[in-house]
Amino acid sequence: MLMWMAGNAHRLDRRIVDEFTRKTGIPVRFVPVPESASQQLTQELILLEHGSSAVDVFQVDTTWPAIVASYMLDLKDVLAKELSDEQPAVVENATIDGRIIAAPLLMEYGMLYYRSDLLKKYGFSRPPHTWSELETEASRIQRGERLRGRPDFWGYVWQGADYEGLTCNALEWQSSHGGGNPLEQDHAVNVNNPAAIRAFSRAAGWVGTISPPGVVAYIEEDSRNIWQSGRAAFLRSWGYVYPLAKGSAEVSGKFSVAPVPAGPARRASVLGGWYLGISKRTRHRNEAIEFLRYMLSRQVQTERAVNGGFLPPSRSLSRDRAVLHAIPFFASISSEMPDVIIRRPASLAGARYGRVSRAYAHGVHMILTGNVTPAEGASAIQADLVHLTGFADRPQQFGNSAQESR
Amino acid sequence: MSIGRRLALAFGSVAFIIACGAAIASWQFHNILEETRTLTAVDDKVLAVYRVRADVGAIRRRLDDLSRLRDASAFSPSARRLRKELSDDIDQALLYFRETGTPIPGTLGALRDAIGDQFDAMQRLTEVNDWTAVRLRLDNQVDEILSGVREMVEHVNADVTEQRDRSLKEIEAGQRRAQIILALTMLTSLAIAVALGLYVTRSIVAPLSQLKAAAHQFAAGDFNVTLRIGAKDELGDVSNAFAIAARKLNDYYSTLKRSNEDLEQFAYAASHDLQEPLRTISTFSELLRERHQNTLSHEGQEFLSYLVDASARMRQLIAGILEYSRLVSAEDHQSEAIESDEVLGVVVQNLQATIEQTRATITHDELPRVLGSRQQLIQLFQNLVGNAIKYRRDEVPPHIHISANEDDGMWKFCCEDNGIGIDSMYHLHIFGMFKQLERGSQGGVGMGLAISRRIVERHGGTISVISAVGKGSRFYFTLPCAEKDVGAVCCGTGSPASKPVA
Repeated sequence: MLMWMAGNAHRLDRRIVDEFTRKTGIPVRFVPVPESASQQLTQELILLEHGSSAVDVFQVDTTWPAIVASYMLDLKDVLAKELSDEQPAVVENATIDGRIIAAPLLMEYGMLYYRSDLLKKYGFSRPPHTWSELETEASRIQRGERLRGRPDFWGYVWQGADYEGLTCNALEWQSSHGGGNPLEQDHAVNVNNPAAIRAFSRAAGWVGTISPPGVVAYIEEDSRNIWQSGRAAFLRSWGYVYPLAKGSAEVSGKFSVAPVPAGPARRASVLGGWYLGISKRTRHRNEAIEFLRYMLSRQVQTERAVNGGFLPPSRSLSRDRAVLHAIPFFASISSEMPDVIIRRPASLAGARYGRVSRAYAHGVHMILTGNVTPAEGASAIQADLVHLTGFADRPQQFGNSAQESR
Repeated sequence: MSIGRRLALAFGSVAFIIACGAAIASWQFHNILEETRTLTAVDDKVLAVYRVRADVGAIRRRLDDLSRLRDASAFSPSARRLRKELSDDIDQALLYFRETGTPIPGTLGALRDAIGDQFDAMQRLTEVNDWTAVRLRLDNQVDEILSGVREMVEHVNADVTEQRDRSLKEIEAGQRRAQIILALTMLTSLAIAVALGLYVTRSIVAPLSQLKAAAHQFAAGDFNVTLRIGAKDELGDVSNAFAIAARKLNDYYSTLKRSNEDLEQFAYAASHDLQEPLRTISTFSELLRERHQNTLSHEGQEFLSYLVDASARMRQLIAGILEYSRLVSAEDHQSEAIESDEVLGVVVQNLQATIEQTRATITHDELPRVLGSRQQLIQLFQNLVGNAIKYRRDEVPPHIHISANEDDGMWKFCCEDNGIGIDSMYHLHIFGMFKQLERGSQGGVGMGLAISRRIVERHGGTISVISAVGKGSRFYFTLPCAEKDVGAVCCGTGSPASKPVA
């Protein structure tokens, strides 16, 4: 009996797992976990740190590899074949000290959902490439829709609450504006720089103009609620929204997906997603490896993509006709991915990532809510992160995107 | 096996079966009790999840109302309270589901987290007064959770219904089983009790009734008893001892009877055969006295008179013995109803001469009718009356009185005289043969009372004497009543117990 600590066990996953059990005779049981990622991490760490062998397979978030690395088996050799087909950035994210401690199950990254019908309606031929274009299109559509009897219509919704999701949004802003990454590879803290301040200040300007004032309290589901109910033109979110929106009455057939808009410096999309890792304490090592191999197999990955809309980390599947039929935007995004993907500074921060991310999101939130000016906020974040990490206080003086980490 | 062990085994077996039955039945009752407890627990579970569902439903409705009010200050306290209520009820439900192997506790935990997330999210949204986002959350995320809860409740319901059905079935089956077991135990123990009882009773009663029959046979004088008791128990021992005793007694009896018959044969033959030479002696001594008396000297004449007296006396003796032995061997003893006063009349007539000579008076009460041999009864009365006259006191005319009273189904006669009486030291001897108190003085050969006793005993009666020297004698003897059923009264005469042996 394999115990799989999975997130929300999707009906699809249950079917896939039943198939595995039928094929191999290895029963798999889902261990329920809290819905929110941070609580899930807490629960996993309790199990792992107490050396329990109760759970064999753990679900690992993009930002956790450094935290759980010491409890996980190295999959580099046992899953060499499967891992060779994955997006390098995704694998790299789970590589800690040369060990690949988890295998990518699904890939997520920031993307822009847009109302193609409204773009057309207001004379825009393509989705916005840049933040400036987004601002233009959003404000025009918003104004137009409000004139047409939709007083609560907004141009753009995103995740502005004080939490991990804001970190992702803000990282994309900072990076695309050339503000670099809060924690640079050379162990320097880099927030308090003009490009980053420009980026934060732009985002703060959206609140109450093209974005609802409440956006500073939005997490993924709130922004999706607004956009999916036809109350906004643009949504920055993750891949999981796609199948849901396709099944929604308000936006089905009226939307499409584009990369997150570029800033003056570049295009940046934060990497998300989930991995599967095997506990070192497992009593079913071979069965667990077989299970991972199965979950990473082309068949399962295709099924998850086609029927669940989960983006496969596999490079070869980005050219698969069935997958592309289900997720048409997957091809273009995959081809751009190596250039646009940015990673959260999780591996650099290690076990302190949670606090680092909270400090960063909190600082940005203070700017968005107008409690501090962008410059004050950036300076405060800079100081907090230096204090938290002990990294060098070396903000770049001028926007330079060359140092960005991936 | 001994009776004691047999009985112990029988009762032990029954007790054992009843105990087994009781044990199985109480085990079944225990099961039923357990299942009943399960049922209660099942209901608790159902209630717990229903409460949780009601909570979530209430959260949905209440927050919906609050979101319409668009009042953040009213929203948060209500939300906190609702959240706490739900959390408490989830805790309670978790207690009930803690030790079950169901995924319910996980679901409940996940529900608490999920609802918590929703509360947090909505709290944030109310703080920035984005009521649209709050309402959308209620419509989308909270509704989804609610449907998840409904699914859980349905799952639990199905689970619990199944469990309840199972428990009810188990209880029913247990009750049925208990009934069957009780009935079986009762029937089995009853059957075994009956079988063992019959067996034990028969194994005791059968030898006992054999023994009883043998005892009756024994009592009836038939010592030739055979007992077929194979049992090696207490009854077997008793039977064996009884059989041995019976066989030995039978042997003794046969020997005794044979020797008695021999003796009687001898007595008869002897007395009969002795008569012949005695007749020769007395004939020739008579002839000698008649023809040659004168040629004999005085001394010779005296000797001859001794010879004649002795042979006469010898004749009397032999006649007595013969009479006695005839009584013994007389098989043609015929009983008839006899008026005893007639018998007495005959006797008085027979003794008329002596009575007159001695001036004796003979009186009697009203005498009954008895059953017996006329001839023998005449002899009996004549012997007793004769003796009474014979042993009279000098100078005192004898007075003899005869009376009779009923005594224990017999007539008890009393022949009372005013004679010389008998010293008590002789009371036992006088009924023997050739016994005379004063030999020769009164004539007779001492056979009278022996013959009298013989006659009384042959009639199933007894004879005894009460007497003292100088005070007369009272002879008592019993004879069967003629009024009673002849067979009943005379049954004793044929029985070995009352048969004279000497």
